[in-house]
Amino acid sequence: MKAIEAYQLTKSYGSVQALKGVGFDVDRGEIFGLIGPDGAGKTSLFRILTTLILPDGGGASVDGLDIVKDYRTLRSRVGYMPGRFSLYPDLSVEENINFFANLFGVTLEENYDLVAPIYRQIEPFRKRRAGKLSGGMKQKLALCCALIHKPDVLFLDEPTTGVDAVSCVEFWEMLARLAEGGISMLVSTPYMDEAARCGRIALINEGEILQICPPPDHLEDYFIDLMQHHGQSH
Amino acid sequence: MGCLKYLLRKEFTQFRRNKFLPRLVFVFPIVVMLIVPLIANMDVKGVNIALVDSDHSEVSSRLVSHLDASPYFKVKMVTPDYNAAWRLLEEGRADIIVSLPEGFERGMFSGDTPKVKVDANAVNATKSGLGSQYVIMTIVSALSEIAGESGRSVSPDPVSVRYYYNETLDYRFYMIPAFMIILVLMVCCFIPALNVVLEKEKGTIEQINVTPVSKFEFTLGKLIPYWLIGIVVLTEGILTAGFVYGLWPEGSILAIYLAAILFAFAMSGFAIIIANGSDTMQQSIFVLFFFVMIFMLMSGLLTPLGSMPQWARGITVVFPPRYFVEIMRAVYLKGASVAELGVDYLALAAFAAVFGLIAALTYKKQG
Repeated sequence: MKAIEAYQLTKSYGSVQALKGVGFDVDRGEIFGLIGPDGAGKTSLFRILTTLILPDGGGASVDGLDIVKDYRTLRSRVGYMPGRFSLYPDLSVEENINFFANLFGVTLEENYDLVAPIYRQIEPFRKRRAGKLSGGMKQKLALCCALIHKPDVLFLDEPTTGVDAVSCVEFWEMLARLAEGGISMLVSTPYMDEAARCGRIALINEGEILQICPPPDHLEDYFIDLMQHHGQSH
Repeated sequence: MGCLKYLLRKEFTQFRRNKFLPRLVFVFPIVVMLIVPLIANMDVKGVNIALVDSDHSEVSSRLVSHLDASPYFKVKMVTPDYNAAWRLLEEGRADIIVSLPEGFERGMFSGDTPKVKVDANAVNATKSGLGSQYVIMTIVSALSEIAGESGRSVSPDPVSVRYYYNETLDYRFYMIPAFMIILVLMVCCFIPALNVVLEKEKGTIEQINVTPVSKFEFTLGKLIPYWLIGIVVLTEGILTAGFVYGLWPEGSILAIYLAAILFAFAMSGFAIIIANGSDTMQQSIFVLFFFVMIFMLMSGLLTPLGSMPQWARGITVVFPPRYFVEIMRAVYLKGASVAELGVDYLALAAFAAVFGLIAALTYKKQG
């Protein structure tokens, strides 16, 4: 059983087609990168796979569960870290983590081992309001909250946007460790250099996947060639 | 329903942390109850009178001094010339013209009293209505006093009026329950709606949506805190009304709380329905403001339902505040019981259930 299987997903907002038949699959324990410019349809894809919105056509299963039929069960098996910081800024670090742990029916203590490498870095600030953290800290907190219920599949939508370079490197190291522990991941990023850290990548543009491949050298040139080539073929 | 207690705990922590909300809930109602009833009243004082005296008799001058002695009136002008008085009225310096016709005193003692004419500037309808009423009462009592002194039979007042439930006809007693309703209405409409929309704007709602929390739990988690806050606001109102104005409910306090609980639930449910349909604060505020205005103007809060046209009264059937207004006034002033107001309670309960349900159902995954 694959971690994620998606086929022919379509989604439109009015006359704008955000997804035009997207299909791919992600293996267990794989970090799968979704690379593409802003407006390529990455966030729509995330929102569909995390059961936040319904696709217009096509289908997908995550962790063997259908994203439409089994959405209730699925929600306790996936972790989602949205592109925008969306934890409660007026609650402290600790309160945010405990709150989300409680909603999933777990406690921080129970799953401490899983989040420990990340949580330890923000633990000194556990009484601080989440809104007062730096960008890198916020991102670590968000990852903790997304991991707190031991999800099988993790969705990270542009997790490193707005975070300094050092924190980015640290962050990817954490993801690599989590993948070794068996968590499958779908990560989107607009940064080409981060793609090299993925097992495989899908290049997405204007709602279509152009290519799925292991990260090539000189990705940037490769992507631009691909986009131009694709544009000509239309 | 295991998540509800965590959702509630979160709401209360956020409420405590907020700089503004606790003050709004604990200070605003008391300030409103202390100030508004003092200034917003319909008592008519300082009605300016121009008196056209064409009689020049002893009776007419006694009438002038009677009117002048009343705290309600100021006699601005005594003139034999009606046109001069009319000019004063037009300039806005007089509110009412009282004209005593020639031969008034003579007619009075011969048993055929000519009519006193009262002209009122009705731009301010309340002032002219109540003012001319007071003028008539003052003149009638002055005349019967004069007639009594001169040993003539005093005709008893043909009509006797007694006011029940608000014996001093104090507008305040009519309005205080209404102010409490306005407070509960505002708090239970605006705060929950803003809270839900804020979760949307901050994106935190997404984070909640990917958890197994059900829409009913989420909606209840939003309704219950404002329900309690509504009760707190009402309690502050009741205590202020009691200690400051000496107005305690005639009926049972439980009847008031039962109605308030249903009302607060209905209104915060209504607010959440609007919030579910709005994407931004502005949107939800304007839509809510529209409804709150209509509720305030058409639920019998400020003007009685009985004075509305039939078709408008028909529309008010779907306004929950209408029933709460009915209950509050009846319990507060008349001491009515829950059983007597059964229909109003049932209506409020129905609104609470329906709005709560719609609020939960319209709370959906976005997109």
